[in-house]
Amino acid sequence: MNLHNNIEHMKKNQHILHLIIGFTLLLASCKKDNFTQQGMAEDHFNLNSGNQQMPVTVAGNVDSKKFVIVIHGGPGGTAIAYRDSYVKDVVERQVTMVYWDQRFAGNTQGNNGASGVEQFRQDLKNLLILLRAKYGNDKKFYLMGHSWGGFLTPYFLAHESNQNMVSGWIQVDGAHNYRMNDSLTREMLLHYGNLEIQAGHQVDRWTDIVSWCENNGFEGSYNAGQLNSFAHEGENLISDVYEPEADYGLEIIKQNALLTQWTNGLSSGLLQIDGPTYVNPNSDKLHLIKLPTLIMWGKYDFVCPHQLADDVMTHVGSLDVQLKTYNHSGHSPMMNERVPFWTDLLEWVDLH
Amino acid sequence: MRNKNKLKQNTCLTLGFVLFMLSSGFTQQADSARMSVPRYESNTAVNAAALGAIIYPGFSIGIERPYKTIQKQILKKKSTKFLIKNRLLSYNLSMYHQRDFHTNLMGQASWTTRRIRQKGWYREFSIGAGLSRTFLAGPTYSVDESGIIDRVPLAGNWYGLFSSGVAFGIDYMARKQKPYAIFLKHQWYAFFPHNSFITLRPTLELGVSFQMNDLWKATPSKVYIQKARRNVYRTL
Repeated sequence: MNLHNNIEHMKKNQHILHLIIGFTLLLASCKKDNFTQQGMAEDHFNLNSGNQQMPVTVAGNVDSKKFVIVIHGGPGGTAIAYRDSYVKDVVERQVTMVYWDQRFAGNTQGNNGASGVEQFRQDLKNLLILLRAKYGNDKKFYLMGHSWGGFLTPYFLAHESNQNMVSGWIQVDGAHNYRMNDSLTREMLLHYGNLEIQAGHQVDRWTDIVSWCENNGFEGSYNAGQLNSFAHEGENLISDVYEPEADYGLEIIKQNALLTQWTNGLSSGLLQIDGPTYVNPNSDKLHLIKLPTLIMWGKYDFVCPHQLADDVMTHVGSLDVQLKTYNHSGHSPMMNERVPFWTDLLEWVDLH
Repeated sequence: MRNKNKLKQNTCLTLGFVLFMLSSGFTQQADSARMSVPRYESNTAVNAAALGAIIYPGFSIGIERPYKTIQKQILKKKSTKFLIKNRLLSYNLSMYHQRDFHTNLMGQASWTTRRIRQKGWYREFSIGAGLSRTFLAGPTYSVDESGIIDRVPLAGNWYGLFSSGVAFGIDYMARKQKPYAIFLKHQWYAFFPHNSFITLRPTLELGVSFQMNDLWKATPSKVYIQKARRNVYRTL
């Protein structure tokens, strides 16, 4: 009798255990997607593409049906750096911003993966497929490429029918043509360097910079690196350039894995990700891009000089092209003159 | 005449012997007074710590086993100083959670060298190796060549890890013959391959360890070194 009762008791316990396991598995498999379909979004998810897991933050007014995707600079930068308090409090109330960290950049994780520019292009395509699937095909997507992102964006748009996935192209101080870029940087440093020396401004530093430029060319990775370094310094030597405003809330700071960002930046450098850009000049393919285009540039951008904006204006295939120049900005007008910058961008997005 | 000389010789010998015996006795008493320090017993210990990876919370649990203990005693006039050097192997499971980034589980084996002073204060240096597995925050989606989207379950990565750390603490076994210790430990982890390179993470742990006599009993080789004013001798 006792044995029979024990067996019955054990069977009952087994049933309960099976129920618990089954329920747990059901719960685990039935996690809801967290894609906000209306109101203000603050969605965080990852895009797994080519052995890399790239974090994506979608934040802002989904009801606007307009998504501005930040294609950040670097390579090896982070999209979250563009999300300062002004963007969070003002811009995101009007549009939806998409902050996507590219491979080998920002908070991206993974063991390894391809580092060629073709893979970056494929990642961007995968991101657009994912966004369209999860937020709806009725939404409009705009690509905002800055610096290295200004190479990646036209490289993506000019390929096959990729531009059909997008409603507009915003080019911000972008390096769409690396070889032309280096040559123009050297010329701009010489031009403004001599002017500043004549005016008696920062004479010691400008003398060193001008002297180096006179004695060296722009070709080769060493010269390109040195010119890039002088370009960043040169912007800080011009008194007309406003101090960058970029304040971040504590939440955004905590969201960043700073050491991972740093090591990702080192990894990008070691892999020489932007090396192939010299054989993919983009200028010869700009005519294929027919999208409405907004070009936004800092007057004192030594890193990607203004003549690059002129090159886009001249060669892009679109008939709807606008150029905005910011006279007190360097390489990052969204930080030097953030109010006029974002106001212009929002007005343009609103019209397109 | 000859008997007188013999008597004198015997007396001197006897006196010398007595003096020698007496002085040995005094020395032993003095030694026993100075050698009142008990021998340090080191055993397997379990430890638990609250872990902070920069500002992100976590915890660590583990076991440490000594394999060699060197106790060095320095005899002074009125007291005895001692120093203990422990060599240990430890095995730890740790984790931390960084919101909006990942949760990281780490398992490692470490080699530790620990130097314990008279009152139980100690410092240690350790190096370790192991594995870690991250679990990404937020859902993860993959897009295949046909544009089909799949959700990736338990998305994350395996990494190899190396670590190096220093710790400071108080060993109450040395201090008061109590089988526990508290410690503060700072470690640097290197995870690889991370994006074809490495990534780094510092941690800070505040924890306790308990010696467990019955748990996986350790039999470390023991070396006792005693140093006095003139004589130095070793006991194994």
